[in-house]
Amino acid sequence: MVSEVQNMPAEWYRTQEGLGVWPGKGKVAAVGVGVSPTDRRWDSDPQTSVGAYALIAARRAMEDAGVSPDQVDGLVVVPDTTTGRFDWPQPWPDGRDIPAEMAAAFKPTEDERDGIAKLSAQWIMNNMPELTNLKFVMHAPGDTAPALVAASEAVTRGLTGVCLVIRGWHNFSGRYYVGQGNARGDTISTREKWTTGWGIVGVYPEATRFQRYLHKYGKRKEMFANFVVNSKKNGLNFPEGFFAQHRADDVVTREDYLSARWLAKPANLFDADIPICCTSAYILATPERAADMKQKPVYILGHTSSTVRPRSLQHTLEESEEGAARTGRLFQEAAGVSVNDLSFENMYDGYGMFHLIHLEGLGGYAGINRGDGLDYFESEDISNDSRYPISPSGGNIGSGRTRFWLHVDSIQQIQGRAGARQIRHPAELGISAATFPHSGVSLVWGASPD
Amino acid sequence: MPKQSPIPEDVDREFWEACNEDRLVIQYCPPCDRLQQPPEATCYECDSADDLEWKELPGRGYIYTYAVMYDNPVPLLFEDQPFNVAVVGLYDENGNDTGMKMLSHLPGTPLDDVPIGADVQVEFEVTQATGQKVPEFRVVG
Repeated sequence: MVSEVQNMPAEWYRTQEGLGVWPGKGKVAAVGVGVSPTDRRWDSDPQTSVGAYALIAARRAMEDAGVSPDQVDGLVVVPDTTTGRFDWPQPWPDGRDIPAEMAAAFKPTEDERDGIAKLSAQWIMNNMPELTNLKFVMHAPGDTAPALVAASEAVTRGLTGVCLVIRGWHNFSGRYYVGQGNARGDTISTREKWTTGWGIVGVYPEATRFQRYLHKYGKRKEMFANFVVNSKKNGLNFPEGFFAQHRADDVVTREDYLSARWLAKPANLFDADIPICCTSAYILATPERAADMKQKPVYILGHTSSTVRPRSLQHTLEESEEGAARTGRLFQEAAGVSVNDLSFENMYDGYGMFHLIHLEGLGGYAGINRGDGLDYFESEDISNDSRYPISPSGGNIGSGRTRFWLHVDSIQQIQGRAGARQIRHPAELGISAATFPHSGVSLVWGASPD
Repeated sequence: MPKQSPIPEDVDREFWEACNEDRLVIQYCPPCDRLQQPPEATCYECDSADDLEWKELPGRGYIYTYAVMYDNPVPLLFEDQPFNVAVVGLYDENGNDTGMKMLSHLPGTPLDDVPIGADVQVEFEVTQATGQKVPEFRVVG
């Protein structure tokens, strides 16, 4: 068993156009998925910590795939787990020493935050002694999509045959960024003096890009309503998601959307996701190994990475559109497919407006091009019964901030086990991507390796 | 509106000193003929710090876009919610768009009645905590 944890090499991303079809196309498949329970905020119980939830998700993924722990020889973990609360140590409940309670419940690492406010591969290995045959262990930066890319590359490069991928989120009590770090006090330092100092926070840059979009293309905020209503509906049909589990009656109507309180107008409450606690895990394997597993293999046909550097303070709408269009070109090249072949798209949405820019950038999904999206949302069927479903997972808007519902759903759609969300049109080819249009990683999923 | 006082640091000290003299300067790399804002330790084109200098701009610009903040993270600004925050694009001395952007509360502009595309002119506001001046922009005819 290996003890060295590698970091994902930057060259594993496919960032350049002109590289042709991804050499790993069809040589790796997702087979199993596991998702932990969800919570709005952590209740300080070690058994609902991000570490504990990672163990649940990992074991569920292996069970789902029908693999035993000793068959897993690769592990990819995303160490960063914060949803926005970053102060440490936390103001723990009176009379409790939460890190000490965690250490009593699990085998800790040298970092007392591990399993609470971060998740290292070492913490997983400490607490999953059943993973006896690991020969490849890697940390992936940032998010699920890079982690899935890391595992895909590792499998196709022969570094692992059956790889477990884990991505967790913790959410402490308290308001998102409010009064934390540079926001508190009457002075401000660091680069945030150019941004936070004017009283802006996460949603602001996207709200301003959306405002610019409405101005540039002559559209109205109301035209976004159907997208949010559809995403919320899809979320309620996602049994693993937060709203299906905790607020099953929380149907959001067009009227609800249009009367929601503003965060940063033109962005309102329903344009933003809510931070939650949840962890997902995946089993990726070679097609040969996948053939013996319990679920239908979903082949990874390509992956992309598109990053546009902002010219100044924040990405402009035009820079965001440029990044999305780049993803659109890259995914077709990497997977050797046409946008017209897609059965569905699960582009990122946590803020909802991201999805609009991502979608328009794909290059013609449902005939949608730049500036067309809101007209399509308002006048066409965007449900999972349509030929061109829009965000069939419901994304972050539908099920809470994880940035992984779109990957989970893509796998489940092609396996034909998305339940009430199952798209009516045959699910043979899909794309998921996160996070931002100007800086994101996509994966192309297929029912066939070709 | 009250604002937090920016604490000048090595990378941006000249910017804030210029603000206290009612001048707007932007970091500039002559070999690359490139402005950059916010300031960085090196030019993000050539990655060198050797030639970085500061270029004074006339302080004219335009409203690129905006949002109205109803839920901001800075306690000092809670009492003033909701308020406009615009992204202002800066012109050079010839009236060309430099691509540089700054934020502004747009003093004098009614809430959510922000004319995207309108010209603005810089002015400098004193912040309470340290007296440091900060740039703000006002819509002009």
